[in-house]
Amino acid sequence: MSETRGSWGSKLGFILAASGSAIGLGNIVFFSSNAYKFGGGAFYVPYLIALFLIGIPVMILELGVGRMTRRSMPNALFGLTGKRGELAGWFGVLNASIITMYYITILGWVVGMWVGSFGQLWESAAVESFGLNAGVLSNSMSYFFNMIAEANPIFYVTLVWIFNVLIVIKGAKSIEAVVKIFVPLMWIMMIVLIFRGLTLPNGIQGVFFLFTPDFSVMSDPDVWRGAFSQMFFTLSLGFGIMTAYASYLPKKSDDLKNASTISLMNCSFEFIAGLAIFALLFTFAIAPRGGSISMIFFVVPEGIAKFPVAVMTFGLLFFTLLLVAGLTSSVSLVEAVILSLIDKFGLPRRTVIAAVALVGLSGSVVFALPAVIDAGLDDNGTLGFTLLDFFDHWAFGYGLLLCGLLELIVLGWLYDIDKLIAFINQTSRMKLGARFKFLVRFVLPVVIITILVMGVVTECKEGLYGSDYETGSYTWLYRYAFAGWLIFSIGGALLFTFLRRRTGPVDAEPAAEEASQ
Amino acid sequence: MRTATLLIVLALIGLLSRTGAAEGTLSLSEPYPKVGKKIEIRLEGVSEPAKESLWVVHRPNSQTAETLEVGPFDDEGKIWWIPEAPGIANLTNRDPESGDEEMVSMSVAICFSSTPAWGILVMVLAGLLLFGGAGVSLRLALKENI
Repeated sequence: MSETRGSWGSKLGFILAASGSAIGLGNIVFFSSNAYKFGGGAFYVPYLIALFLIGIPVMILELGVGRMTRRSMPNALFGLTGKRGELAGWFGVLNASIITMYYITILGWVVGMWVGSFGQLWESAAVESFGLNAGVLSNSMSYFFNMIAEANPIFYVTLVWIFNVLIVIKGAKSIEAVVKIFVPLMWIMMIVLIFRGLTLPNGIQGVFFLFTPDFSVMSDPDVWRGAFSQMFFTLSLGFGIMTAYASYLPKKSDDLKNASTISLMNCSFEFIAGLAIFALLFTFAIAPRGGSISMIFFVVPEGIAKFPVAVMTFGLLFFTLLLVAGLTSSVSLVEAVILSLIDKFGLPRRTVIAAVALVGLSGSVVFALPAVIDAGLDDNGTLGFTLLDFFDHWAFGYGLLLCGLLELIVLGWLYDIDKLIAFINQTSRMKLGARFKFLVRFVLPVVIITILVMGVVTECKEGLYGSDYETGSYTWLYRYAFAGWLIFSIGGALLFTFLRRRTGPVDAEPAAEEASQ
Repeated sequence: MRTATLLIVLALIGLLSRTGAAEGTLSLSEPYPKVGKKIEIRLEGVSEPAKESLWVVHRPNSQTAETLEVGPFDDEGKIWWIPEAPGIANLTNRDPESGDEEMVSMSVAICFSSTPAWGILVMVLAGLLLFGGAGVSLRLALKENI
């Protein structure tokens, strides 16, 4: 084990890696999309409550578990509670694997748009697409559909996987080397985009628009659900990433400070990303529609295309920012899976990387491939788009929250949470007490169950996958996608849990003693 | 990172196709109207503009979206409108009887009449909390030796 497990070279390296993991595509566009949808500044109230009530506490737990056991999530939970905990851990990791696969597909499309930035994408003349007259679709939309209807995304997806493999090849050491460049670069690029946004005509009005609250939405439970879900997703909770990264930390680290730093840096990035996006939306009077994909590939590029000068430069900057932010997140997802397998089976790192990359690449290609077999994008569908949406619906919409809930049940009820709290308190300046225990055992599970139930109720009212979902030609697909998610995440979790462990069990007691010395 | 569904994309295409196919254009006397300040909206390229009515959707595609009818255009295709709320709005002309026939549409950004105190307050408080908190905790965290 000691051959394969390294450690962070510096505290800064860990914080940059963890914040880089948390800051991803969603921070740049998802927050703005939600803030627009849920009443601008009024969204900040539930958002900030969610940060302190759910975000930071769950992150403290995940960091504490990783540092205490020095293992990835499934193996850490096995060490603390046995097979039941391990099962919950593998469910989280495998659910995250599905997200990794399509996340990398989306990153592949970002590469495609980045490549397009050198040519057609920012052309001023309108282009035709799919039998629609030139100008009917924005050029970014036309370019995107033309791009995903070709074989090129397979090449782009492969390229992104190669980048991921190269970054995780030496574990914490190589990840740290990359994030020390990528994360500051990300902040610099975002600041340049904010400057551009605020210097656009009436850009500052967009900022006022973002922050001026419409308090009438506060009584709407959907707004609270949006804020609490957003917090879970934005901080990469439930993926097992923070536990994996914290397993590289030395024993004497302050989990409270680390959790606060990572969470607040992540939310600060969302704050400034909102400035840039809202300035752009307001200046060009664009009302966001749809979710992150729509924002990334249509809405923001549509605004950039209207810049008076340096359209290509800012277009490239935007897609480079997405690529850099996406890579720092995807490597953390990949690393969480790799570390889980190494910790259980004791295999050499490179063998595990090769296996994960091969399976992951196949999955990412499947999410991108149907665009090739349905090149016309007619007959109601890009199979790839819907396949991605279906899996996102289950793995992201339900899976992550379910993983978080299981994590809380395992730590709060199956394990003696007092031991974990005592371990965290040994090296923390601020001490956790009975209120934290109450939060973990009662409040957080109730909050997550409420969000999940509200989601199910909405689906019952509006139909599976939402009111505007139609099965089109692929009536069978939505059922198979659900089955696919279940088999991969729950079936896979059962399989991995009961496969023979080839490494020694985790003993958290010596770790606690070591930290106290 | 909930993605847009295919249907949203297709609906968007459908919507844009209809918009693109529709005759006529809407234009404003000022590119950035202000709350409380009267502006002229002109409907051109339509044979009988007086049979059309102007509708406004404030904050389209959001939970706070609000639709209201401004009124019918005059014979020359003009109408006066005083925006009541800041933000992005969608202007459309519709059949005054059914109210659901969208023919021509245009997005417009409505500016605040003055600097919004609540907006500044929320921005400053959220900024201080997030950046201030991140700065302090980062400084404290980096004090630890590894």
